[in-house]
Amino acid sequence: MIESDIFRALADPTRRAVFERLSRGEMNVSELKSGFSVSQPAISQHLSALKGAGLVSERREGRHAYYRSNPVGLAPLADWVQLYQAAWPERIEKLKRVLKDMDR
Amino acid sequence: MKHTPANTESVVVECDLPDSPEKVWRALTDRELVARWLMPGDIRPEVGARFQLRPTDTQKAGEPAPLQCEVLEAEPGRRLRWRQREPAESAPARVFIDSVVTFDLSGIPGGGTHLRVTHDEFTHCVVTPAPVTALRARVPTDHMPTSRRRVVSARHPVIMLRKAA
Repeated sequence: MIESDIFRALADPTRRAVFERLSRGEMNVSELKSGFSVSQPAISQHLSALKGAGLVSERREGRHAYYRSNPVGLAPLADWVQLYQAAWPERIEKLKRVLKDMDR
Repeated sequence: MKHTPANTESVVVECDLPDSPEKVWRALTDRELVARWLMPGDIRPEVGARFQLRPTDTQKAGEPAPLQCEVLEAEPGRRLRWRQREPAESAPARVFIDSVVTFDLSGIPGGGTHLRVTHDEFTHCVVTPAPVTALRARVPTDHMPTSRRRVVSARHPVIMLRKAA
């Protein structure tokens, strides 16, 4: 999953609200729809975008589908961790030079 | 210098320095010195102090946004810990990466310092800039006391995207 997909998926306020609501527990579309002022097809569309970004997963039980938010973010966060894994040794080398210069 | 890779959740870098813990502490907390090895900013080694670090080597267009930091621990010559919030790149929503940086210093025989840098607690933070109408709409506000209604409509939700367990 690409980090920007997550951001794109969450840029829409309704979608963000859907995501937030599903993070509190599993729901089917009609449970999810109650309370939103948008149509069920619109909710389904948001769900499919969220699924596409890996933010929501679907569980099928017979004819019913249930949705919940994924505890995502690990892959993109890993990119940040990687970035810092490269940065800190360089910073420490600079720090060593600064410490050396402090003696002068 | 010991560099521990493989762990995707934290970065740990350790090294032995010939300098005393007090001197290393100074290099970590004096803003002039910090500017020379980390970033320019207005660090103040006091618990609760908020400071900025301003990236200079960024490839992003325009003025790079500073890192917003808060000192969590400051024990001179021993431990410095801060939380930092930085804007994530190319984000249409206001998305930030929060993380915590810890410097542990300990004296070693001969007067030097063992330094351990830990960078962890990486978390996404999505801050919506304005009250979200969709959120307001779904709450049955007519059943709520007026005070609660006001709170709901003024809400600026913060969504934390937690790491998978």
